[in-house]
Amino acid sequence: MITKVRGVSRLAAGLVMALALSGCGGGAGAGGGGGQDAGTLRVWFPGNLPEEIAWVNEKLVPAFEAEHDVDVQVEFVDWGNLSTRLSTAFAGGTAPDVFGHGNAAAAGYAANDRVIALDDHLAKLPADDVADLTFLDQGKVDGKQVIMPLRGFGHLLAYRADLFEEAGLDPDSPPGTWQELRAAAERLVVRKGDSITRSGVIVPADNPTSMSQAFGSFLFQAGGDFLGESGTEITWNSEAGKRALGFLVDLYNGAQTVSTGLGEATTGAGAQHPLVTGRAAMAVIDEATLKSIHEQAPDVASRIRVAPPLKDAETASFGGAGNGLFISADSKRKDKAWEFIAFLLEPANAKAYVQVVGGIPARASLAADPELSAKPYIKPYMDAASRFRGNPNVAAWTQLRESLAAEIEAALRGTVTAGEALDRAAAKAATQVEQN
Amino acid sequence: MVTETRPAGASAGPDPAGPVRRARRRSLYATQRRAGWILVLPAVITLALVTIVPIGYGFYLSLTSYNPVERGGPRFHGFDGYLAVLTSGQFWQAIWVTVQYAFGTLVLAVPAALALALLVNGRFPGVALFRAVLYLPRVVPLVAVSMIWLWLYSHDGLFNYLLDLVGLPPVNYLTDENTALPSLIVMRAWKALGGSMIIFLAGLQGIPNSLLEAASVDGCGRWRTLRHVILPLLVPITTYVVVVDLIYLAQSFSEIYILTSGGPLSSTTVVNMLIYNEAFEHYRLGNASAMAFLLFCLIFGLAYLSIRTMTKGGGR
Repeated sequence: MITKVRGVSRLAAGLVMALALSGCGGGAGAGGGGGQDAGTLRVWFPGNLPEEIAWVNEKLVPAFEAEHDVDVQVEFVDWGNLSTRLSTAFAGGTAPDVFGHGNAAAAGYAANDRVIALDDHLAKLPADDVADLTFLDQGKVDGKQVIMPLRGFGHLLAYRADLFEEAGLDPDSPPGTWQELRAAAERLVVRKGDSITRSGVIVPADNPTSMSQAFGSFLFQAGGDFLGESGTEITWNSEAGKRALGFLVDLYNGAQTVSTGLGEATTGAGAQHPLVTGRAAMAVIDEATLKSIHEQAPDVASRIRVAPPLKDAETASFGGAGNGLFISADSKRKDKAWEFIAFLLEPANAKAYVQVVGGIPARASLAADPELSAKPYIKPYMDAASRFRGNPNVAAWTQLRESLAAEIEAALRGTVTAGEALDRAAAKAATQVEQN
Repeated sequence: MVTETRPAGASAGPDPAGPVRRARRRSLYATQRRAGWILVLPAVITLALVTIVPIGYGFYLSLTSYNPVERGGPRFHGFDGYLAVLTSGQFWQAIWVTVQYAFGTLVLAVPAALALALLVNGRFPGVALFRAVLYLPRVVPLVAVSMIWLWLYSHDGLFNYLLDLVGLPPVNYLTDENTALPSLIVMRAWKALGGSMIIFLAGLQGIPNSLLEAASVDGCGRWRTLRHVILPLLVPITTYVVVVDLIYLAQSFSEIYILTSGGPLSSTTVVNMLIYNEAFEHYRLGNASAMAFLLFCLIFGLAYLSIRTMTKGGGR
């Protein structure tokens, strides 16, 4: 019996040892397969667009690997999870060498020394090559280049030409001012009893963040700005800001409501977009959403036109540098990382990138490209590129925007007035600026 | 394992082989203890690594200020995070939403599950299929169920289509702050129905027939039998269903993340949604951890109260 018990004891000890050793072995294998070896460049792209994934994996990466002595391991991370994945990767020391993100995050990563300044690398490029890169200035934080924008984006007014004709409006003369927009929306809105069955116009309103971006367009048009030049003074609650939000609120609330659908997902909605289903006659939309409509509902897309940016005090709209690439400060392959970014920004690749993703090419020389100009979801945005303005590059911007977005939603839903909402958001943001 | 037998009539005096036997026995027990420890060691290590250490680290984080994007790691600041959370209106709003969500779902799901269990406890053709169909939502992952209901609730979804058929205007189920939470509750109750029904069914089938027959002999009708015999006997089962559902519901996240992301106007921001936002939108992992421990206290308190309330009067 004693012999038996000892046997069991030894067997158990052996099992534990085997388990521990197999655990160690697994760990080592996982580390090796995790792309930490010297010859692998890890890249995270934001988004999960199938065309983009196919182009990057089948064209871009093989072409880069053929020219450079490095393996590239690309991972596509859904936009909604990108910040989460990055923050945990930073904390765990497993951040990729190169990662994509929107401009809004640039200052925060730069302030925390998570990304490197790219000026030294840029300085090695020919001067005319650098001058050709359209959105470089918007990728600077405190004068240093921290993100290389891959494309631009923007919000423009799209409208259904057929519905314009039905309502007795001239589709060749789209609204150019707020007053014209309001007047056209009143002509185009369709009501059934108390409810609206077709909105005259809608703005991006999927969530509070997109509502704040929609507000940005009207804020800029009214001559206002989110922050003062110092980057610490909140100015969105200026008279211009209150007028802009008041105009938006009047579209969705009050006696003469012409819009509905707050909170409905419209970004990238393609065939389900209210412009396609006929539940809206005009819509402020971004280039990616228009592209999705052209791809998923080409018949209706042929009846959709895009107007230049609206004008109130200024002609402007929300947009500018879209997603770009950063180099992680912890990367051990910074030179290779830069080579990858530079390769992606070569004219042929910069063109191919917007062909699959949409948006405004990162190079000014591509503005006259006949193939890009022939795309009805690219050309209007290229034409308006100089009018687009984006988020301020300050470290706390994503927090400030959230405070603003929550109040804008409250105003659009009619729980507070435009003025109260912006003042409250400004007060909260001022505290956040102080804490940072 | 080793039994000592003594022949009948043998002397009870000192055994010359006693010290050797005792030493051997001690050695055997020591070996047994060692074997026991070694056998449970993998489970202990696993439990420690995947449960106890993360909980301990989570509690440590709750006493720190930690932004994972910043370099330097967590900075200890004691109970400041708990104080900040407890004085935050947003947290108490999220607690209120969580309580409404959990109890709203229970109020819908538990009576409906009991009614269905009573229905399928009978014998009729196709009862097995009926039970299987009712149980189906339980085995479908919550994320998949949420995606289906996202379409059902969408402007052009099935529910608005049905309303349109009878001439009623569409409802903005998930995008109106007045209807979003009730819509989530209906979806979650539907999901919880099958599992609770099966547990009630097991409880019903465990009630001895003799009791039901005795009630019948005593002249009890179906209603009185249900009220005075079946329901009292189901109290332990009901307590189990309510407490387990409550624990799960108070931790809800995925369905809310998919259907409303906590909006509109934070009307569906439950505590777990707030914890997610705090940790991964605002990068305040310390406060998020403090919220998680406070949520644990809430769940523990609600579960304890439920057990006390439901077992009062002898139902055990």
